[in-house]
Amino acid sequence: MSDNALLAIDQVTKTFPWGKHRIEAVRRVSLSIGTAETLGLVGESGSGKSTLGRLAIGLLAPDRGTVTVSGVNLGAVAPRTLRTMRQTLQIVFQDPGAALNARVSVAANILEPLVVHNIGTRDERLRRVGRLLERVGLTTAHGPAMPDELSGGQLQRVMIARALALGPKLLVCDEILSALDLSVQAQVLSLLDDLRTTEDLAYLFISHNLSAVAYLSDRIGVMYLGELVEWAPTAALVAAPKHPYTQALFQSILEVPVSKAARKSLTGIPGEVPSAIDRPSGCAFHTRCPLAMDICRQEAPPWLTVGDQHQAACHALAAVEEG
Amino acid sequence: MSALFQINDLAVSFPGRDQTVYAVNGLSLAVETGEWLGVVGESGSGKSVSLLASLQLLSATSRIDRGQVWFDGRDLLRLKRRPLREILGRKIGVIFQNLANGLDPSMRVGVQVMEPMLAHAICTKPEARRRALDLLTELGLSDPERQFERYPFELSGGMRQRAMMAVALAAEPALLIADEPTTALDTTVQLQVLSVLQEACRRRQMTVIMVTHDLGVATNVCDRVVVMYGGQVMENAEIDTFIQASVHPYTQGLKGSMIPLNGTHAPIQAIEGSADIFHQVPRGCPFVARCPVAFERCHTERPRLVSLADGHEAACHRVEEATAHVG
Ligand SMILES: Nc1ncnc2c1ncn2[C@@H]1O[C@H](COP(=O)(O)OP(=O)(O)O)[C@@H](O)[C@H]1O
Ligand SMILES: Nc1ncnc2c1ncn2[C@@H]1O[C@H](COP(=O)(O)OP(=O)(O)O)[C@@H](O)[C@H]1O
Ligand code: SF4
Ligand code: SF4
Ligand SMILES: [Mg+2]
Ligand SMILES: [Mg+2]
Repeated sequence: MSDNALLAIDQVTKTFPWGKHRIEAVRRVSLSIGTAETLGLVGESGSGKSTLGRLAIGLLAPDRGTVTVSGVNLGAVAPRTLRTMRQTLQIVFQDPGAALNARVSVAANILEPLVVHNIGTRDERLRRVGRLLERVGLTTAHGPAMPDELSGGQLQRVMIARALALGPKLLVCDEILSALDLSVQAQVLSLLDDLRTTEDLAYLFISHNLSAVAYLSDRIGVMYLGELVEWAPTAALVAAPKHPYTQALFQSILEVPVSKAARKSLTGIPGEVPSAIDRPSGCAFHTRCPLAMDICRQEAPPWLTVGDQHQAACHALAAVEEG
Repeated sequence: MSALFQINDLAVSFPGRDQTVYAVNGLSLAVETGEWLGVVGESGSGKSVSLLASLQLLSATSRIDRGQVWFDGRDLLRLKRRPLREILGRKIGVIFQNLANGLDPSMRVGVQVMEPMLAHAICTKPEARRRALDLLTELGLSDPERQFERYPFELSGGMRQRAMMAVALAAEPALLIADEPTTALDTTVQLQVLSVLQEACRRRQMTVIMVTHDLGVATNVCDRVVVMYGGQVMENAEIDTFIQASVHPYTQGLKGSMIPLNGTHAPIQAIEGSADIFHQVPRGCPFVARCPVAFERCHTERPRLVSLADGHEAACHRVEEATAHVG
């Protein structure tokens, strides 16, 4: 991991209690994000994306491994320092309705982090709210409105404004487009795109929507059952995904064909993500992988460099490399 | 033309204490025997309300202001409870999200698949059991014998969706109405579910109306697409026409809002704003407030659904004027 990374996650594992057992939601994941860089995370539901997002900003502590922000290990600082650092690390979730306080105005919701951290005078805060509303494509007229008077897309903009209030360096976006219409998804995506340059923001952009991730991200990490299985610059991943799971994800997207005759057949990988409780041995993807071999059931695949800054963990790729 | 199911000039509203919501405002559409019709539009455009209303499945807070729904030579909106029940589940299978007629959480999956066969006295109980198992197997439920005895919450999202389809198909209906049947699923699982649904419906030569907000899904499985906004039809086109020659500004807006998957970063030409809620019956075109090419006429005069070519219709003043000049 480079020293000048804004965020460095190193060999992080996170487990949760599950009856008498523990499940590994995130397993030995390493990644880094530079200043004003966007890292996308994709994978089916249950692959550990949200858990990793919470680990990245210190909302969860890892069982093993370290999370470092601007060179500071979040696990080794005093709670007060962590609290201050967390001002620079913000998260926006899928459901803005649940995350906002429904009993106070939009402006009061956006103000809240400033009040909590005791930043600015009343007037300064109000001016800040006005600017934030405009930054996210709303107007000061939306300030006095109550959350239930706004549409889903507008609420998501309010959430983003609120997350920006403390001037963060990293914004984790966890499935923030999922509940929105296509048109509104595109609007919010364009907004994030703008903010990246004007606010010097880095994103950890989590979504199971591969198109949205590919649109916004500089690099993409692909997760399966808690593990990273491939990562690459976006252009390389879109042009030539190497891991069989990544290939399956791309093939599962139904794009508009050029004609009815040019439709592709509706075949993809079988099955669903297995439970993290019964993690398959060897390569966790072997129960669904069209290329699975004996070794895949026995040994965890090695990380291989398959291109410029492009890595994947798969035995089949190792065979190609050797052969 | 042999429409199996036809909605004529349907209008549905939700009267409230302060104001009324006009959800469906003169919707007409028809599906022909054997056809797979897609209904697309943003959320709030009236897709669910119109289909639910057409089967008298809306709650009592709604009001059907006018219209007819023709099926099997009868107007479903004029049918009493009992004859309607003989049609629903028997001749028309439905998959609606988040509704009472989804899966019952307190009943085992297998029993729910048997239910339509028993309710309509299609076969004996042991026979229904055998058929239900076959159906669950056909729809790709893994380990169907075991899933048969399970409750819906014990199933994964994909398996639950398959079980809902099994219930809808159990009585071998002629028409299936499916409202966003794969929306909440991962794309990998969506593909599996669409694939088994398509196979099962083809094998039975069923007619399908599928609501989706996903143009990728609609263009990959449907024969024809109806685009809705403001509870009206904006455009109606065969799939190739829809893909290659759609004309309505709203359709173009939906297409432009799609996020491309090619690694490029061209700006997305999304429709501005979000779907309107109508507290008055729209006087002109329902899309006027968001339409980039609206002009005076659009505010005051409702565009008629005009036939442009064989099987291609659009409701738009711009389109109508442009074609009038040409023709
Ligand atoms: N608080 C929790 N307690 C127990 N299990 C959890 C908790 N949070 C997540 N998990 C489990 O961890 C795994 C990864 O979940 P998550 O990070 O939410 O994945 P994703 O966001 O990719 O869908 C899942 O098996 C999930 O059930
Ligand atoms: N029970 C209800 N009471 C009031 N308005 C409703 C109700 N159900 C739906 N609506 C309104 O009717 C319109 C059409 O909704 P709907 O048919 O659910 O849209 P779609 O299925 O296309 O997303 C929307 O404006 C919605 O807010
Ligand atoms: S390691 Fe084996 S099972 Fe895993 S993705 Fe590669 S080929 Fe498939
Ligand atoms: S009728 Fe007018 S407002 Fe409606 S889509 Fe056509 S041009 Fe736009
Ligand atoms: Mg998640
Ligand atoms: Mg709906």
